[in-house]
Amino acid sequence: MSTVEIALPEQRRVKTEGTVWRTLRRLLRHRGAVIGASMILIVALGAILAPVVAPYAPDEMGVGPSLAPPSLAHLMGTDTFGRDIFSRILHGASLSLQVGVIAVAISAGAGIVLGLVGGYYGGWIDGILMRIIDILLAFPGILLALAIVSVLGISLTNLMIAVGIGGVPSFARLVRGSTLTVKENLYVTVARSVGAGDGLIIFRHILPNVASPIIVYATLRIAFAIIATSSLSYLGLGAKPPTPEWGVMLSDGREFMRVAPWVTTFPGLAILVSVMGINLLGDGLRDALDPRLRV
Amino acid sequence: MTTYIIGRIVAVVPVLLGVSLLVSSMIFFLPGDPAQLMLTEMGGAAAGRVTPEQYENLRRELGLDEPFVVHYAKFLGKALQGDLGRSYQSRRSVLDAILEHLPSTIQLTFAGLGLAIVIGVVLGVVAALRPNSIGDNLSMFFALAGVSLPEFWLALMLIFFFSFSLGWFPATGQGGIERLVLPAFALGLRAAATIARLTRASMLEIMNQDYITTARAKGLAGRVVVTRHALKNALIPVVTIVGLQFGNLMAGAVIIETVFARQGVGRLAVDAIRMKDFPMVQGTVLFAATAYVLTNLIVDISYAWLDPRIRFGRSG
Repeated sequence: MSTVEIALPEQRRVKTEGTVWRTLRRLLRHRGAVIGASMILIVALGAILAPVVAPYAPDEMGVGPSLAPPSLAHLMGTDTFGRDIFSRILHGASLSLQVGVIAVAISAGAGIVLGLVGGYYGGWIDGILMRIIDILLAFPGILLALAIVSVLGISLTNLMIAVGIGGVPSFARLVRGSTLTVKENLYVTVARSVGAGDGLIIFRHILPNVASPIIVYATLRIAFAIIATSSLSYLGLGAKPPTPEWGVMLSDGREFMRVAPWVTTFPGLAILVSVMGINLLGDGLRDALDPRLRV
Repeated sequence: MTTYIIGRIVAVVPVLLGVSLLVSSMIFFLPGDPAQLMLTEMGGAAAGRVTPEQYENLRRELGLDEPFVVHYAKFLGKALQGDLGRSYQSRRSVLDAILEHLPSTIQLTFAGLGLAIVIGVVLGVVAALRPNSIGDNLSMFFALAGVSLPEFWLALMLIFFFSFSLGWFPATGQGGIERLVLPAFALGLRAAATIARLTRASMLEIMNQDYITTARAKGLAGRVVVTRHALKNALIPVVTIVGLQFGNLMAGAVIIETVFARQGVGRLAVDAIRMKDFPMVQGTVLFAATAYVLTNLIVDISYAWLDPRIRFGRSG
């Protein structure tokens, strides 16, 4: 009995390390993934170093003339209040990355638990969970997030929570599907026959084996969360001025687009670079983690 | 086939009931007193002009004076008769307001979907015919850009280039095809990118099938093989995601309508959320979800009709 208990975890640990290194090696050879990771690195460095690198405080007005075009003094120009757009974009980067990651952590956390429980136990528990998920999936795209924001009230935190909850049903469905396949494997039967409890089986044996699609989906979902929160902030349903949130900056610049297009160009480019980097990395992860999915 | 269709329709009923239950309970999840919140938003409470009667009337109108079960039963009963309540801002019937704004949204959604299908299928086929060629790489870069561009920013950039700089299209408003082109493109690009990727993957798989080799071997022209044999089959998975994309486009219309100042249902919803006009929020959300569920039902049924394995095979 004791030999079995010791042997199982050891084997698993070796295998996991192998998978991690193999995935990393494949990622480093994947051109898209390397480009994507570099783009994310640039945005992340900008976010972390913003207090040091940014030439001005993000909310400081009148550091330059109003609506000045890009120049050496103001790399991306200034907005209508004479704020430095480059500094605001750097500070906005940490905001967008945080919001994206936290929203997806909410979606993934709840979705993984619901999907594992539904898929593993089956029966009426699964039946009820899946009916609820079907109902939530009837609100397409950002509509569920929109409805939740209308209940919680307008703020960036509430928007982040709403986008997070909005992503729960698709995560749950994904995890449930994978769990249904994985729980039929011999090692699950073996684990159960040596007396492992449900919790141990779910978290030690099933979760690691459904991790690949979760990691890929979570990565791509961060990209979606960043777009969704900036879009809804643009509509006035999230962050409020003068927060240097990219969607809010775009909404501020809209009126002056004809005379000062840089005010609307650079925040959009910042969103594009972040989202494209994450999408490239996500595609690379999918190729690296599961070559069968490659087309 | 008939059993299949009936089965699908029956399966939709609990979903719609669940949707209406969630929407009607929204008002109970609000932090604080919804009636108080709405009156404050109207400026009445702040000015101290709210009488207890007004407050009680609003609570009654919102159905807050009753237990939730009664509230929901009434909500559902009225909704089934086409009564979605009254807007608290304009005092108009919510359904009337939605129906008035609906044609604009339908026009935009279908134009976006049409553009997405045409662009997506063409790019997908071009990419799949010569894998790893310049055409493939360009198409797939376009697809990557399509899923990475925020729609509202794309919309702003389109307005800047095509309206302000080139003067080809009007920037905002609605009516006429010239006011539909930019919003439809901004709305449809993401769906086009998704469809392009799926078409490419599906085409690549089909082009390796034996019957394609056979068709080639018997001397059919490449064009005939591609259009008659390959594309027809490659499009089956594409059809299945059209329903899903329709939902995304409907939700995307919320953003695009605001950017282009179009009078659509999406804009109605956004304005209602900002104004805390809950009957209007509930009405638009319920309407959109129902429309999405019913569209998917139609897609499912037509898909079954297209696929002989379902049409003649086991039902259910």
